[in-house]
Amino acid sequence: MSITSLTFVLFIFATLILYYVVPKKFQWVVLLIASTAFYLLSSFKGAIFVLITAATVYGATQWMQSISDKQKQFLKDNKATLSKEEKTALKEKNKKRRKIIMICTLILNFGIMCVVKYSHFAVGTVNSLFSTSINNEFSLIVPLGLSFYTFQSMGYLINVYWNNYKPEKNFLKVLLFVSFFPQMTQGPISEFDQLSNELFSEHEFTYKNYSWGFQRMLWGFVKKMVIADVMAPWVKDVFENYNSYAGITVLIGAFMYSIQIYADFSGYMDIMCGYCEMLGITLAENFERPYFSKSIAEYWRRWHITLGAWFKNYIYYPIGISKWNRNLGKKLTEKCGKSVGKNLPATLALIVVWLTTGLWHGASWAYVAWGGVNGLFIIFSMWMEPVYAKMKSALHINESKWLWKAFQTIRTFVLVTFIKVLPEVGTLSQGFGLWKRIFTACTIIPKGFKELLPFAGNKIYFCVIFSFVAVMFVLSLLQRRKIIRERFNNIPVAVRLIVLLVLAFVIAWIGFSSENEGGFMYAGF
Amino acid sequence: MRDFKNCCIITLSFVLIFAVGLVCVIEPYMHQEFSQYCDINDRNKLAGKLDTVFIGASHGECAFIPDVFDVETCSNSYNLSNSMMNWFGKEVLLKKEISRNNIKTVYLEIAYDSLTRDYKRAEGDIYTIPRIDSMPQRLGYFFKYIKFDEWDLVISTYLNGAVDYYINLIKIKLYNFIGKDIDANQFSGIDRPQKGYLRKEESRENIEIDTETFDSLYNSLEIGTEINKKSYRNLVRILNYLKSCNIDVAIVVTPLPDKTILEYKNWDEFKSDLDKIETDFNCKVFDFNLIKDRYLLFDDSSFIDSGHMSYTGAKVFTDNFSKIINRVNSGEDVSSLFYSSYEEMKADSPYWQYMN
Repeated sequence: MSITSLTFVLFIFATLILYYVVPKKFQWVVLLIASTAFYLLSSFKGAIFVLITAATVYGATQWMQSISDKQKQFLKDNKATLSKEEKTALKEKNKKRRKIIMICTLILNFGIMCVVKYSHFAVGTVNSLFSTSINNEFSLIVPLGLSFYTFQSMGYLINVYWNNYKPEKNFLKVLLFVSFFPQMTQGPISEFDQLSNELFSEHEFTYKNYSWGFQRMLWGFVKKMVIADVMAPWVKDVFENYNSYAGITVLIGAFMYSIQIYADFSGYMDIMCGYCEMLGITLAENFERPYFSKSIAEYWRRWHITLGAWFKNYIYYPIGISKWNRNLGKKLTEKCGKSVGKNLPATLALIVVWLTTGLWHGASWAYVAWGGVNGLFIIFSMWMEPVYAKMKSALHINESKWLWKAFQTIRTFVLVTFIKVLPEVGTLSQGFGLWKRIFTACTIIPKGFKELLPFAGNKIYFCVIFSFVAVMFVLSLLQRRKIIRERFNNIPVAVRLIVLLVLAFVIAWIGFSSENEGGFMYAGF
Repeated sequence: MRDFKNCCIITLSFVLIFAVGLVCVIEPYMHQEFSQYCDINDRNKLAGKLDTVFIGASHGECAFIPDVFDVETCSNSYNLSNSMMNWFGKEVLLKKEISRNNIKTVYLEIAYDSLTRDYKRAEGDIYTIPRIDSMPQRLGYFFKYIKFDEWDLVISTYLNGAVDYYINLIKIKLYNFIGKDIDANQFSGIDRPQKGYLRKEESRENIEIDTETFDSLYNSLEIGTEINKKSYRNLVRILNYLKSCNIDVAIVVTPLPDKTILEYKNWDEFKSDLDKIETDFNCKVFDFNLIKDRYLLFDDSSFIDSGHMSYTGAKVFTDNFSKIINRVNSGEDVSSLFYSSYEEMKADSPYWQYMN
């Protein structure tokens, strides 16, 4: 079921009505039924994978908790009789048991993800490296939202292992957490303690939630269908034919890709967050004006925030604060100084994070390279921080001046765009080919609109699309001060209605007819 | 609960206002003449005068030239066909013209996939809806025949047409305001059809069939043989309706290029379906692929692609067809003018040497 189809709109409104009609204690049941229906309609065969993940995570967390509970009870009952060494030994033994359960569950679920998502990549790599001809034509069912629900579930598992909270006893609630349909296909990747509060508590219908959520949903549809879907064939045309376009055209195509992917992904988030708001549920935000970032590191704190948080919490910190890494840091501090002692352990953790981030985004060496390039920029900036500080001081650069901030923002946007397009063109060499074309064909001067943007159709249409792009960026700037939604809802209701009707009209005019068939760019993960 | 009820009412009102707004924006577009398929005005002018109707999908749309047919047969005909027209569209348009004209004969064009294809996308309906002349009937057709998951395609097509129409109107007004001459027809994009027929481009790739090309294409495809039950039911309904109105009906298969004939292997299965319809409904079938002079009458210049006739081809076809109709109307048996099967036709073809 496409999320930008009328069928989906009908589905979510039917769910909304049912949600508020049933007694409040059964609201979560309605969400579970809706999530199940959504998944079965979208990916019937993939449902078994979701069930396996939910069942294994539930079983593992219950088992770990029962070990902890039994240990607690045993220690309480035998407080007087057990020696300190015996208590420590028991705790160590149970910790080991819990660790084994956690690791086995992680291996099973990540193993399923790796086999389904990366087997073609692995076989292709082996064939290229060793000149073998292992069959690579097999087809596997790729469950919808595999990467998202796997990461979310594994986060829950790891938090239970760390005793951050107790596991949920009701299997159906765990199933809902794993399969909650608004975040199934493209996130956000939520933490159980935050999302469970939202999902399982009772929600009263309020006009504010409904109208604000509806407005946000409508705006999400505009971003997705009017901006992202319209730009998609333009960008595809540039990426497939970059060798026949002028450098400036290819550069514009690359910038359009940045706009397209942002509009696509954040549009989806607006649709789903808006819908959840109508249900009284708050989902974690995934974007915070990323293209206004002043560095690559800041960009990744503002783009796909929940994925970054997941890697930070479950890969970066565990590696960073692991015993061997801390010992390494101590030794390096003694031998090479504070800076090296601090930065090198962090560098090792960042390398792992960024290579796995690249791999998460796509099963190809181009994506691994993309992740590596991002990591390289962040690591380089980290090491060069003292040097930059000295340079800025020597050049009397005032970091609070708008000119400097504008330079940083534009520089970051250009860098991020160049890095982003690398894996999107096709192979790594094609990505470099596109970069090369931008510079080698910069002397070709297109004459007129048609030569500059041959893929864009007529001027009026192009101007309408780009005016929405401008509105999108202006709104995101205004939202920095968190005033836009409040201001909009303070204007007279008739004016608001007209604005919403115009948006609906534009969606029907441009959005319904876009060539893209309604798929979301991150839905393949 | 009161909040919830109020919001339901507000949402329904929003949807209603939006729907009404859409209709208001699209409605004027349905009456303009910037599109080949907005022929309401053309048909209104001829109301009460027509006695013959051609109706089918794109093959029929390209093949029948009413002006040529009328001269030869002294009739007043109209080509009601449009591309991808499905059976609902045929029924609705036929009933309209029958209700306001004294129609004596209907020529129903059937192609090799008319009864077997699955009419999944609403493309044919997109062309048919603007030809229904009242807004309530158009809305009725939309809600009755367009599937819910196709609403967005249909709405956006008309909205795009409507927006282009208003932009062109504004351009014309602006030009007039600044005193510049402008030919409004330059915005139509296409010429107007004449009695439902629009002249087609005559260019086509000249595909020479020799032993090499023949081997790769001969009998390489198969016509679908499983008749779509829904389509067949609709055909039967149309035939019964025409019979009840005492209207003569004949089924016509328009000519196809040699390449297409040679590509498909089971033509005679298609023919046997038509023979059954002929017997069951006592209606004549004219399969112009089986006309004995086909290799003299039609060549590559007669077609624009693998299924549709060019203006040149349509002229020859309509002229021959109308002469045959005259002979039929005068009581002559014309069966000797046609092959009895596709196998017989192929055996008599200039390609028999390659087949053997």
